[in-house]
Order: sequence, then structure tokens, then C-alpha cells
Amino acid sequence: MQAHASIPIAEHRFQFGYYRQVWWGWLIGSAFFFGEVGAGLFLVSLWTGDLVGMTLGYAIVMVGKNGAHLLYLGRPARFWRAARRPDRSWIARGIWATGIFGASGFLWLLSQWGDYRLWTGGPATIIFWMAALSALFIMFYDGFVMSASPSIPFWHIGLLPLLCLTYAALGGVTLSLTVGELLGRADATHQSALMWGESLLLVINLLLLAVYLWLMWHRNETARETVRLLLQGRYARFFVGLVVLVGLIATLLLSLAHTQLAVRWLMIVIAACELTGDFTLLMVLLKSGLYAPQAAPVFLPSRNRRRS
Amino acid sequence: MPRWGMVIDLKRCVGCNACTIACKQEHGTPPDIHFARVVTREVGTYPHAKRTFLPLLCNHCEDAPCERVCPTGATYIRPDGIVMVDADKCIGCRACAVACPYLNRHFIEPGLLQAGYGGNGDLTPFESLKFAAFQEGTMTKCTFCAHRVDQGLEPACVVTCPTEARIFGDLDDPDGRLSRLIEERKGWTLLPECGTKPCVYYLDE
Amino acid sequence: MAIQHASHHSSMTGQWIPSTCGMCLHGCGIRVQVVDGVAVKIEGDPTNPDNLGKLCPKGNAGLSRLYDPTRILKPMKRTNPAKGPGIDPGWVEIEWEEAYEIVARELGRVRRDDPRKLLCAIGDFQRIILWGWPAVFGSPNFFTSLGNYCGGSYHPVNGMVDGSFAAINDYAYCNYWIQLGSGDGFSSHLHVSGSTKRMADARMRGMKVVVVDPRCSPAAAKADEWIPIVPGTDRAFVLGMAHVLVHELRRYDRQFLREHTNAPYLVGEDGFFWRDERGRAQVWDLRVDAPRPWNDVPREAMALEGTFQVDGHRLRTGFQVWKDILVDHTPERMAEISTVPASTIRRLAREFVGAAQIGATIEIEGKVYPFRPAALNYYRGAQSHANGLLDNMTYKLFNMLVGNIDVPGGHLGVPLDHRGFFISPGEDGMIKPEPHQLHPIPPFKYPPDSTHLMEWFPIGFDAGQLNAETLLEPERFGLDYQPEVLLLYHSNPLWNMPETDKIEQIMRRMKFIVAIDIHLTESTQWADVFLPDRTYLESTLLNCLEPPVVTGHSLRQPVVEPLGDTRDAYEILTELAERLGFLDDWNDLLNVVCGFVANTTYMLDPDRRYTVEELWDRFARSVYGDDRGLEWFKRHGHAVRYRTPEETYMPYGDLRIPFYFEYVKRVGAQLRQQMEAAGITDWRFDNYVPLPFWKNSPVIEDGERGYDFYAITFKEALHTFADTVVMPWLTEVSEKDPVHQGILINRATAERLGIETGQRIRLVSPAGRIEGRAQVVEGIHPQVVGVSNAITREYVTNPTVRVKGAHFNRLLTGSMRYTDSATGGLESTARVRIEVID
Repeated sequence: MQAHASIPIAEHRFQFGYYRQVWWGWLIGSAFFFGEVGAGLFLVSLWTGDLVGMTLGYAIVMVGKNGAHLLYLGRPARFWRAARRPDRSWIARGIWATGIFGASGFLWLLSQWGDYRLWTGGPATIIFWMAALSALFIMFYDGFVMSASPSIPFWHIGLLPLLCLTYAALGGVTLSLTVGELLGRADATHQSALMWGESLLLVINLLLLAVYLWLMWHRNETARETVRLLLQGRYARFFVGLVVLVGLIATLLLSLAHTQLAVRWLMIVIAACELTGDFTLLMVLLKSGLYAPQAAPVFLPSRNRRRS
Repeated sequence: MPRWGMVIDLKRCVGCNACTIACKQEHGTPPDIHFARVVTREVGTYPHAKRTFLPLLCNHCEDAPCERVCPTGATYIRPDGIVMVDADKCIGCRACAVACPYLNRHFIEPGLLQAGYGGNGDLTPFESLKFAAFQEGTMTKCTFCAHRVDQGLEPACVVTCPTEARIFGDLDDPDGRLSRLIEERKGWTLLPECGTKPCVYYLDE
Repeated sequence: MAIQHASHHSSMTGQWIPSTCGMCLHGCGIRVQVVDGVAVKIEGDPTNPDNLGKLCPKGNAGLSRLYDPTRILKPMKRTNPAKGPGIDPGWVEIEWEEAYEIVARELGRVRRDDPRKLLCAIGDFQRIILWGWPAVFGSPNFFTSLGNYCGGSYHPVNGMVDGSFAAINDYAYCNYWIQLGSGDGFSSHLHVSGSTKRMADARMRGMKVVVVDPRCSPAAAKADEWIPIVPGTDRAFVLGMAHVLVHELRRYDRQFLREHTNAPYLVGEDGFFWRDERGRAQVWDLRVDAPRPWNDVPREAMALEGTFQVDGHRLRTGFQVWKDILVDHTPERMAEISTVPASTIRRLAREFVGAAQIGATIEIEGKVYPFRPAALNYYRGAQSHANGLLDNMTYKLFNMLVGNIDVPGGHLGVPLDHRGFFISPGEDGMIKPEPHQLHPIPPFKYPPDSTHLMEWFPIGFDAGQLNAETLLEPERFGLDYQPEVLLLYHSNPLWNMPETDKIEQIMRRMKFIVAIDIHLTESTQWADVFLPDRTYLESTLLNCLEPPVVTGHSLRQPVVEPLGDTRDAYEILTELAERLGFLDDWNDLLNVVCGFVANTTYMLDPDRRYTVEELWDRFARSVYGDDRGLEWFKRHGHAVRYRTPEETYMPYGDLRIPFYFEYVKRVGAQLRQQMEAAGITDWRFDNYVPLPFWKNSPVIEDGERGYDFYAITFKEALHTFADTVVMPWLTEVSEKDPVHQGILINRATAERLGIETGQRIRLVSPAGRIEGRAQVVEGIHPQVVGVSNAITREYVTNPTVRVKGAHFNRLLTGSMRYTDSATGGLESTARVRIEVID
């Protein structure tokens, strides 16, 4: 893994160089992924009224996201303590949102699955909006968790929560389309709107990624080093190959084709491509995050020297 | 109320790692965890090449990102500025480790406290005593040897440094040794662009 | 709140036990905190002026030695007779009684047969009083490179110049410090903890440091200038600077040379002093233009230089002889040899002599001394070579040129221990040469008694490396016996000696091997019986070794109950002496080495067995007074104080120190006569010379045989000796430093050879080969490859420590050809060629 000029990527903390983010990996990536697409699916399904989608989205969040988080924690039995600091910590806010989602989403689903509506009117509206807003929060707050600290320049940008939101929406739309087609219960109007929404979100995400990389290239050396990793280096085949080519471009082309070709298995392929790209993006963002080198001025080539 | 800080004189430091091992000894940290460490780097090209040494430890930032992101409040800042971890409250989410620009947070992997340095699955009497203060699945970090500071002693790394490259004291004392050194030698902090306001200052070689 | 550490309740009194560190040989003062019988912290003792409360990384790792789970805690005997690397000895734990029985039986048998058949390898510096045990047993042998690897030529010359054992520049007053091949004040050698502090303070007050070293050591990293040099050519560099002072700048301290050295003494054509009919050395009396006895001429009237004709004889002053030698040691010629540019040689010489302030004085505590704040310091890298005697002479002479020997700011002798400098009047108004301070040298003998030919090195150190030649070719040396039994006491010959394969061969011939040690090592795993010693945190002694600035003993005392079923090495050796029937002789020897013969109140009764506490209690009282016995030391920890200016400066007083080493030449001539009479025809005498000059060493000549690189080894603060190299607290850190991750090779050289970091390469010398991982760095001379001691161990008992196995000493040879013919000093550099392993 070669770094630019004379600053390497450090293998351990006793070595000078960019240091890699090594704490959050597959479990956190999975948690983020399940949270985003699950909440996205739930929210889209609230709009389309698709009960299966709603339930699936709910399950993905509650089992997939929470499960991955609990598996990851060093002391999972103490997880409830994370609710203590919503004033400062995005993780704490996320716990609250997940809690609210868990309760209100459950109640909403309960009310929808029965032949009779368990609650109507005011209570129903409150439950509905609590579920919807908490789902919306879950879609983007991961981005804030990552961008909260200045420690990893590549993550420290408001665009990251936005990207999480658009990707969550994209994931939700994709899954909603897939569920709709597979179960044949799709409302044609909704299906068609979602198809165009899919294509639109794919283009938006492509543009956002381009802007993201461009901003990062010009932010500082450390951020630039990550961009190199993503475009030329260790993660290039994942980012360029899976995230962009498979997850966005191929998905877009297949989606456009699907508008003409009404073939069911094609949607599965589209979903597989999109979700693969989505998950890979999260993993690659986690893995490629770099810390700026801690340097005495004499460590750095003279053009890089900075002083407080 | 003092604001504890440290000045590290890079002109004095010879990269011997006495601080690294003294800290290891003081806290009895498990394998692969070092609160204090020295980074070495070669600069220049032969024959104008040399090795430089950068001792590192927790900066006990005034605006500590680790404290800000901690969801449980396990990471807290004492009134005298020392950033501490209450291991009883820590859930091991490692947000603080991600948030620290200086890589000064350490996670105690499950299983790490079962086997020490002997490689034979047993703990030595020293390790049994010291490891009891750690909890698996939680974070730990440099405490500026708060337990020593509270008794009027200096941190272990400061006491052992053979060249007296580490100087500990009250940053808020305008006549204190730290303030004078920082002003005279134009002391600087690491990664100031992160806005963490470290309490560890460095003096150039 | 989370559970408090035990040290949270540390306090300054009652729980801290003063003692002495044992992680290297020097013994910094420490305090150890013990809680409920468990040692929990070691810190430097702030009351001890030696280390001023500081402690190096090794000292901080002491608890991991005390509680090392791989320590041997009970005597063991071997059940598998097969021995060698990778062979399981089949250890079985036994009781001490059985262990002693076996060892006494085997050693007793040998002693009755021929006590010389015992080979001894002793490496426990701090128990230096025990080193005479083999001699009392009846064995003169020394099967280790201990002391010789660094000090073989160093100690004899220091002793001859001013009765010192080591040397260092004056931290307190020096302004310009040149350092050759040494880590003093930065990473290693004399009392690292305190020395690093003193060096840092000196640098902060403005002292300039110039470090000459083949690689960018920590000293070079902090120095104002790093001067890279070809290994083994430091002498050329300094001779070049001497030429500049003497022939170009003509600046040198004529007064010092005339008053305090034998430089004015007249030398005849045969190289010996010109003596009158009464055998007195002569000087040239300028008042009458004739030679006169040295003590008949006032100093101002002595000629320092000149060539004179007397009765058809050509006489020169000693100084003139060197001046004439230096004529062709031009900076240009020396630059070619050393690769230090001639302009640098000139510049440094000019800066040095300018900084030396020749003629200046300083008042210290009411007394006026010469003030020469420029000095040259040096250690292993600069003089542990085949012409080490000449190296050491050169550095002393260069210092003498500016008159800085043992004066404020200059080059100070460091005594062996609390007894200070061994200075007494010798011949011709000079000090008596004291090349041997550890033990007396037996007179010449043929056939030799010792396997390392101690009798053939009248001014030498113990040349342990020669065992490889003498024991495998005994007929060449007339050795009339073959050793059968080996005692390994805290020593690792398979690691510390050159030519590992030959050492292994020798060890295979041993019928019985006993080890007194703490760990299994490359060597002790060969033992038939293993007798477990105690660590420094569990044993008792008083220590004062090579203190550079202070004097006085520091107590080592047990801080916890000794672990397991171990015994103090003194007790082990004393028990064996009793069982072997020489307890009385052993006590007699201890009476001598402990100085009890001078202060007979404390003499040991030859027939009584003394415990280790009783012995050291007597020692303490005999040195410090009857009220300062062991109990006093247990409370106070040490009796260390600063040496006074009187004790430090000009200990030679009115006696002259040698500039012209006529003594060496005389000793050589006498040895030649003795050897010829004994019929030995192929012994070299080439280094029994009175003055140094440049000549190539065999290492340089090896370059013509296709070995185009120089291989050096080195250590830094984390590791010294063999035992610290495998301690996980320390290796965990050193393994992360590129300098300790592989064989260092210069980047330009690596590019030329197509070598990248991480590639496995092989170094092949005329004597052996090693393999390792290449580590490309900028900070090493392009013709040099460096092997840190951190990567040299081949045998590790702790599974968390990786075996790196680049055993540097395999590249060295112990043959006489590469040994200094006068001192027995070994060659610590090898010529190698580099092979890339695919």
C-alpha cells in the first residue's frame, strides 16, 4: 500500500504516517447498511401502503441493525446506557430514534396487520408520524455519527449524512420495487413512480459521490490520500468496480432497461447490484478512512509543514 | 484549580522509550496497549539523514472529541482537565476511538485479560493485580496518571524520562514552567486544525 | 468507579524498598514498591546521584523478569543425552541435594584429574567478586567474549594511561564533544539513565556534539553533525585530525605534553628510551643542548620536539617520533580510507582545537585547573577491531594533543569501582601501567595453561574468542589437555562469541555442562544440570561498577520473597567450593577481592561458611565503617556520592602519563624472547608498538576477496546483552522500530542491488552466514549493513516473542589473525557479501 510522496500508511501506532480506521468494520458496516435500507424500505412502504415492505423494513432495522450493533458492542448488556447523552452524542440520538422506531413502528404494524384498526384518528396519526420520522432519522444519522469528529478528514463533512440519506432512500426504493414485483402486489402507479425515483436517486448518488470526491481531493493531504485509495489504490476495484460501476451505473442501465422489459428476475438483479454497491460503499468508507499523520514539523517534507 | 498539561522537549528526547515501558509498568496494560509511545521517523537523505523521535500520549484535550461522541458519558473530563474513562459505564462502542485524531484510545478485546505476556495462558502475580483494574469490552486510555497526580506525584512517564524531556505542570500558571517554556520555545500542539485544544505541547529540536 | 490500581495508594514511605537495578551491568539506584508481597513498580531512586531518579526502559521492565513465567525455578537435570538446537533435553526437576551431588561429583572428578579441564563462562558483572571461583578451582579458562567484545583493547589502554578502566568526556564542562562509535549519553554504555540526563543538560546549555558512526544511531540523530564512516577506520579519521593539528595548524598543548606526559623523553633508533648508564630515561635539555635525566631538567627547559644527534645516534623526543609518523597521515589519504572528506577532517580538527582553549584555566572549589572544554569520546564501534590497541592509543593521543586528559571539560578516566584510579609511581617519573584491573595476568608459559592463551597476552584482556582456535587445533598452540566440563554462569557463549559453529563443536565435546542461570538460552539448554539463580530483585550484593561521575556502592536487596526454589549464585558457588574441598581457598580469594586483607577486621575465616548477607555486611563495614553495614544500606539504599574535583581531575598529579608507550614495546620484546625460547615461531607481535599509525586490518583486506560490504551490529536503549532481547515488554516496542526490524541497508545501495524492504537477504562473511529481512534506510553508510542485537537471538522461550535469528556473531571469527596481537581484542566487524534470497 504505497502512499503519496514520502508519507506512508502506518501499519501500527508506533509508525509515522496516515493511520487507518481500524475499529469499525464489518459489523458496523452491516449495522449501518441494515439501518439505512431497512428504514428506507419502511418509509417508502408507508407511502405505498405495502404492508409486506413495511414489515420487512421494520425487521431489517430491528433484527439486522440492532443485532449487528449488539454483536459489536464490547459490553452489549449495557447497551441501554447509550441513551444517556442525546445532548451531545449522535449514537445516543440514534438509540433514542431506534427505540422510538421500535415502539411506534411495532404499534403501527400491529394496527395495520389486524382486520380492524387498533387505533385510529389522533393516536394513529401520532404513531404514524413517530414511526415515519424516526425511520427518516435512522436513514441519515449514521452519516452524522461518522462526520461528528474532525479526526478523519474524509468523514468530517456535512455531505456524508446527505449521502446516507439518499442511499437509504435508494435502498428503500429498490427493495420496495423488488418486494412489489415479486409478490405481484404492486400498485402500478406507485411502481412506475418508484422506477423513476430509482433512476433519479441513482443519478443523484452518482453526482453526490463525484462532488464528495472532488471536495475531498481539495480538502487536505489526508483526505486526498483516501481518494487515491478509492480510485487507484487498495480499494479501487471495490469503489470503482462495485460501488460505481455495479451499484450505480449498471443498476441505472438495468433500471432503464426494466422500464421497457417487464421481466421479474431483472428486478432481482437490479436489487442485487444496487444493494451490493450500497453495502460496499459503507464498507469502503469505513475501511478507507484515514487519520492525519501526527508530525513534528521536521517529520514532514517542507511544503507540508504547518504550525499552530 | 490547575489545568494539567505537559510539555515535551524534542531537543532533549533521545527516543529511548523509557516512558513507554514506565507507563506499561505503572498501569500494567495488557499486551499491545501502550498509553505512551514514541514514533520514530527517518528524515532526509544520506548523508544528511537523521532519525527523529516523537513521544506521544493522550493530549487531554480541552475540547475532547472522545468526550463529545461518547453516548454513555463513560468518558468524562475532570475539572483539572484530565480526560478519564469510567469503565463501569463503557459499552465498548468505540466511537471515542474513531473520534480521537491522535489514536490514544484503546479497546480491551475480549480475552485479552485472560492471558498476559507469558504466552502460557497464565497471568503473573503482577498481571493478576494490574489487569483487575481493566474490563474486557471497554475502552481505556492514558490518565495523566491521575492516581499519582492526586497524591502530588508526577506521571510515571515524566518521572522516568532520563533526559527530562517530559515536563508536567499547570498550564494556567502564568509564571509556571510550562507557560514559560511554551512561550520561549514557541511550543506547538499536534493537529491543531482538528480544534481539539490539546494540553500537550511540543518544543522543537 | 472502576477498581483502583494498587499503585493508587502508593506513598513515599514504608512501601518502597531501595535497591539496585540489574538489567545491565551498571546498577542504577532504584526503589521498588511492594504491595502484599507483590512487586508492583520500579522507579529510579531520586536520592542516588548516579541516575538522579531516572530509569532507562530496561530498568522499567525489571518486573517482567522477576515474574517471567519461563524462568527456571527449581533445579533440573537432563534426561535426554542428545544435545543441540531443537533437541528436547527432557528436563526433570530435582532437589538441590541431588543437583549439588551430581555437579560436585562431575567437577570433583575433573578437579582430581586436571582442574584446567573445567571451561568457565561467567557473565554476571554485578557479582564480579565471584569471578575468581574458577581460578580457585584450578582453572584459568575463560569461555566467553564478555568484556572483550567491547573492552578488549579499551581497558588495557585506559589502565596504562591513567589507571582508569573506562573513560568519558566531562559532561559538566565540555563544550565540544566528538564521539566515535559509542552510545554514551544517548542509548548505551556507562550508566545510561544518569548519563543521558547529563548529556541532555550539556546539549541544552550549548555543548556541540559531533558523532562519527557508520549508521545514524540515536547519538548521531541528536548530534549537531553526523559523520558517517567506514567501520574500523575511525583511527584513520582521528590520525588525519592529529596531522592537521600537528602539521597544518601547529596548534597543540605543548605545556601539557611537556609537563604531564612522557612526550619529551628521548627515543633511540631502536624505539626504546635513550637511557643513561644508570638506566634513567633522558630528555633534551635546551639549556645545554644535550640529553639529561628526566628528573634533572626543569620542565621549561625540556624540548618537546626535535631530532638530535648524540655520538652518532639519532635521538628524537617521543613527540617527534609521532610527529614524523603523522607526516603521511594526510587528511587526503585518511579520507580515502575512512570516506570522511578531507575538508571535514580539517574543519573538525580546527573547530576542536579552537574549542579546547589551550592555555585556559578554571577555578573549581577553590583550586585552579587547566580548562580544556573539548574532548573525544569513543567506545566499542571505534576500537573493537583487530588493531584495537592502536585505535585506543590514537584517541588518547589526540586528546593529549589538546591537553585535556583528566582536566575540567576534557576526557576523563572512569575508575573500575569505588577504589578510584589505580595510580602509583612507576619508572622514570611515570605512572605505573595498569592494564589489568580485573585480575592479575599469569606470567608467560609454554605450553599454555589457559585455553584462551591468557599467558601470551601480557598487557591483554581475556581473549575468550581464541577458544575457538585453540580448542579445535590444540597442537598449534601446544595445549596439552582438552577441557571436559563446562560451567555456564549467567553466560551465553553460543550467542556472545564469534564462530558459533565452532563453539557448538566445543560444547559437544563436553562430558558435563552445568548452568547457573535464570533462563534457558541457546547455551544453557545444553546443560546437564541447571541450577536456578535468583533475579536481581531477589538477591543481595553491593554494586559499584564503572561510575562515570559518582562513586560509592548501591545495595541490591531482595524486594520480595524469592520465587520458587532458587539460590543466590554466591551460595551456589560457595556450596560447591565446600563440597569440592576448597572452601578455605575460596574464602582466601574473597578476602583478597573484597579487600579484607587490607582491613583485617572483617577477614573471613577460611574454614567458615558465610551467607551472602554476612559477606556483604563485612564488605560494607570494611569500606564505609563499622556503623554502615548491611542494615544501614537496607535503610538508605546506597552510599553513592559525587566524586570530588580532587578525585576526578588530574589524579596522576606530578606523575607523567604515557604518550610514547615504551612499556608496550618492552613488553612485546620480552614476550618475543620468551616465545623464541619456547620455540614458538608463528606468533604475531605487530601491535606491540609505542605509537599508533594507520595500517589496514584483515577486515579491510577481505574486501579484495569479494566481500564488498561491512557488517556491524549495534544496540540501543531497549536491549543490552542477550537476556533483554527476548523480554516481551521490550520486544513489543523494539519490533515496531524499523531499525530493529531487519538488516539495515543504505537506500542507494539497495536500489543498486534491487533490494526492497521485506526481502530476505543473506550476509556471507569469510567465517559464516546469516539470513534476515532487509530494511532499507537512509541512515547508514552505503558500504555498511547493520544488524541490531534485537534480531540476533536464535532461541526464545517466550512464545509471544518472535525469533528473528539473524545471529550476527556467526559472521565474526575468533581466529588470531583477526585479533589484536597485543591485547587479544577481537574484531567486531565483518566483511560480507550480500545475496538476495528468492
